[in-house]
Amino acid sequence: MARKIWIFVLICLLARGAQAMDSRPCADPRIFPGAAVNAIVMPYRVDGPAPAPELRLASRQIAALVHLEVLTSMLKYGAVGATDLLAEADGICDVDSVVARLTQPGAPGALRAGQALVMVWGRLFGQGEQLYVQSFVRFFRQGERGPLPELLNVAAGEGAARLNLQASWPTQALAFAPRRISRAELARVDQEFRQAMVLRERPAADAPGRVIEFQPGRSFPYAVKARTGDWLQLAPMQAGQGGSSGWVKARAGGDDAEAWSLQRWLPELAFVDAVNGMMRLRVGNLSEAEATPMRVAVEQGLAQYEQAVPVEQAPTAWGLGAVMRAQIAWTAGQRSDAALRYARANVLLPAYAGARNLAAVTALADTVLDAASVARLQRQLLAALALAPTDKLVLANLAQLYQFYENKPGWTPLAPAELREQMALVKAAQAR
Amino acid sequence: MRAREMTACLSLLGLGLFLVGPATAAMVDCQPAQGAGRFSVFLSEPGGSALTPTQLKPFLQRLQFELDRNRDGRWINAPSTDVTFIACPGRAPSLDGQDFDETLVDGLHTRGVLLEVWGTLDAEPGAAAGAPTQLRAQMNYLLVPMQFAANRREADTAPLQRLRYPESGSAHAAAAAQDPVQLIARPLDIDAFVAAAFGYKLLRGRSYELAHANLCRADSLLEAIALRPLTGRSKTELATLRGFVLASAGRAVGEALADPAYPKTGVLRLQAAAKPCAGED
Repeated sequence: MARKIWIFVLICLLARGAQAMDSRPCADPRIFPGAAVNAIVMPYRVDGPAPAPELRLASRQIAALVHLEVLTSMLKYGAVGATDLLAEADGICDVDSVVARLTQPGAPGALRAGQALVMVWGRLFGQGEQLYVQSFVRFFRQGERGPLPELLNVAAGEGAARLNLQASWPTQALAFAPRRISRAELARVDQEFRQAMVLRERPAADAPGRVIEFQPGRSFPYAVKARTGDWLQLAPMQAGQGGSSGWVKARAGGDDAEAWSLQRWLPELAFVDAVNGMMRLRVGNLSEAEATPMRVAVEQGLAQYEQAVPVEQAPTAWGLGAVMRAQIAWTAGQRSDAALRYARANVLLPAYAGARNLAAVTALADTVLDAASVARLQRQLLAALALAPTDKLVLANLAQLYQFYENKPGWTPLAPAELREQMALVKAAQAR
Repeated sequence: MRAREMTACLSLLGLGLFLVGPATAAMVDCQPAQGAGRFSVFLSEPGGSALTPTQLKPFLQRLQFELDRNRDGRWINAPSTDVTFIACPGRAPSLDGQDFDETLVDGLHTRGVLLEVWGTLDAEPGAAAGAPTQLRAQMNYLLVPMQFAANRREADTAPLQRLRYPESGSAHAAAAAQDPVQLIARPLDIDAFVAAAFGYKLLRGRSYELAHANLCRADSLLEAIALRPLTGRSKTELATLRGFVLASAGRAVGEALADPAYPKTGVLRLQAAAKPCAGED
């Protein structure tokens, strides 16, 4: 009963369609309680022992612009919030510390089960007029006791000859390929962004308005109060904050390449937008009418990234993109299509045990088990184990398989004594 | 000649050698990452016509930033070995690798250098009039632990790998052919060679399970590289290395099972020495 009430409360919160943005110190991260997906942008630190002041300023400018870009892009998903974390002077923002604080069950400002978190951060290197920027992303949904891996359950076979297999996404974090942007281009993006972010009196492009004042390092706690089409009504979140409410146009994504969009220089922000959309879909509680444009937006974000960054430079991002597309197909019940896409992800991520496990188990979906397909599964699971000998899901699947062989001795390539020994080894590895 | 004058002459001679440029090999020392259990990849100066002497240091610094993309590895759970990429300005091995004598390789191996990367970068006029200059590269990757073992007649493999960029038919080719760093910074290639070198080093240290995992990881990555349109020596050398890596993974399983100190429930007992990385044929 308590669980039902809790779920009802969560749904009510999500249904509020909260969208908000904030800037907070790194030591005190908090999420927006009503947001299904929270994005947190952490500082872009400057590489090198004694960075020049102008590089420090550029790093702060990039983080602030990434925050605004991420938020304005993800507004279309509804029920979202974005926070810009600021490092203390000369301090660093430790990703693990921020995750630990935000995933501690019941802690103030922490995630509740079912909410998703997407974290973006980066590093910066300056050379003459050019800035080289590398971004990282990490994302997950919160469970009852902490972050959850994105899992897939696959049942194959029937009766005693049934396999209940599990796989997870091969990675929920990645390092993007570094990109180049000149200082002049960054300054222009900043200026044009400010000009574009006009709070208008009405949801119309010709309505009178005033420019929102953004300053790197200063908090910008605005909430989205209402929505009309692509237009969002922003209002100050805190009493006495000053300023007034007004309407801004949300980013539509895809080909909506406004001059101020940082995505032109940092296409990984399009990928991050796809991750935000994917996480929103995974949180769920969406009608089909709400989910369909989100799936389109995910595809647009991935395609935009892949168009800008070739696979040779970003195999992991392309691989994760294949996983997300596969997940969408899998959720839609298109199992064969999904299995092909998971197999494609495995090709793009040859060194990831999770990708091999995912491809191996989903290949069995919607198929009739036979000795050959089960033997193939065994070879693939052992190949995954060769890459990651402590992978719990791979070990669990191997244990399932050896149990299956005991129930179906005619299909096993192992002698009885060998099977018992292998089973004991897997159990010992699981117990470690 | 007094000692001070001699020193000045030698300095000038050294400067002269440096100014001659990368056509003449210069093997100045480079400092690897300090501390036990830390490993490094040296990025040395390329020869060729694409870069002037003043462009070499900024090029190496940028290459270091580009390749160091997993620096936040502990935060992104990157599966690769934690290595530090070191830019080595002024260090310009000859293209054929003949500078790497036993003494030099011993020193690199002892100091935890897994890989040294260098090569040539050349600029060629565009095919049509007015077309932008096209860059071409041959990058050399010296897998230090394999060269160390080969010097002792312990291993018969191809410790020096040579890959050419851009590869024909690559979607990457057109964009990358304008930017020397993007042309050669291929994460898959570096990961493959680092995993192979690290895995083999661990095997020599009898750290069987970690060695096996890294060697199998290298095998998967080398298999992916082999699917690309490689030709000639690059293709042959890569195939030789892959065979050696797979054999070394088999050795890790075989030696673990034969070692009385290896745990009775060790996970390598699930694998077969004849097919150490499992998977399909």
